[in-house]
Amino acid sequence: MSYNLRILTPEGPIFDDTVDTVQATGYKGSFGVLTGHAPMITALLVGPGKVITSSGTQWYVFGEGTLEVRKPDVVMLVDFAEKVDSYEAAKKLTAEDAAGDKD
Amino acid sequence: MPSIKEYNSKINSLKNTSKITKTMKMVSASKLRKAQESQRNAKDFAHEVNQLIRRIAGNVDENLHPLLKTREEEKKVLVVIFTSDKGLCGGFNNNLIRFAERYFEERKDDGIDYELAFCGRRGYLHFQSRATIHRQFDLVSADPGAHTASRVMKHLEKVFLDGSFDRIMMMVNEFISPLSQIPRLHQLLPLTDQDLEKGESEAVAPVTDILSEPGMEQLLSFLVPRLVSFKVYFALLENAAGEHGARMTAMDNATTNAANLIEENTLLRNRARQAAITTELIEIISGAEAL
Repeated sequence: MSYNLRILTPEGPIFDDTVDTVQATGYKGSFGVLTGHAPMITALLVGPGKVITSSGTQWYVFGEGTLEVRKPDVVMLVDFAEKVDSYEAAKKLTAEDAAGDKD
Repeated sequence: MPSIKEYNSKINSLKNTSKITKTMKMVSASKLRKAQESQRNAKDFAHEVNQLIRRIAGNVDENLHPLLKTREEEKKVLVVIFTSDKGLCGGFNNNLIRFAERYFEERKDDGIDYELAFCGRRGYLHFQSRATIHRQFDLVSADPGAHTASRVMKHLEKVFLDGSFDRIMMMVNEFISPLSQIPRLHQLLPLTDQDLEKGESEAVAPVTDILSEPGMEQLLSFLVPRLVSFKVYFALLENAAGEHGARMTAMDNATTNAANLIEENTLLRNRARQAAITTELIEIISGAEAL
């Protein structure tokens, strides 16, 4: 089962395709959205996330924003979405971002 | 009269100059396209955020969020001035600086404290000894990104909410075409009806049967700053587009001028060469006659 995911940032659309699951960092920690999820709007914090499609898993670091389950699609509005190679790389980038904001 | 050698070196240096200006023009043209593309994307994003806010809150009024609230008494105003980091772009920065000076001159008696903040070095260099500087945001003009914009926004949001400033304005060159940019003044905070796309779309009934985490109110306090961030980002892009447009025009003029000068100097060099040949011939002939 799959649904359509759109990831939008101020710099343009990053992702628009059919996916099985999307995972992101929410207010209360990491969560995932599967097909058939009830309509929902939630806030996202800067953190690692992943998109699982039929062709494999892609890792991202998502910026602050929102995720909206708008049946049957899912739309994410985030400040930025940076593609990385692995979970470790995503965590590293998240930490760097947190350090950069302190100035 | 300068010698042929002097003309030659002058022509060579002019040729080099025109190579540089021609390249700068082409670089600016491609950067301009990129900035305009980013502007379109940013607008789409802001529209989506607005739609979402409307879906959550129905009609937006100014009590919904402190960033929307107009203060009754305005004593301190922050003006953020957007200029480029580099020169060589015609009157792009000077027009804006003159616009700003006129603006402050007209308002110096109305009892409001104006402070300045800068995105871009050119404006900062001009005003640093002439006005009260609040802050200069370094390295944001050259390569505008949503990330840098949100950093600028966070600072502005902070000084607005803690009461340091009652209103925040932006002065930025509006990009009309590569040939013309017009200095404009926009209000950044509190947000205006226009930012919320009021009147553009009908109010929709807020959705209620929906899970939201955290609660709707908190969610709104999360979304509204996105719009501020968008405005800063958009201003940065407008500034970048204007800078590159202005530079393109300026460099195009410079290339044309260099071509004219090369032509003029080539003519003078040929004349000088002909004069030298004639002198030489006369010398030979009169030498032969003397024999």
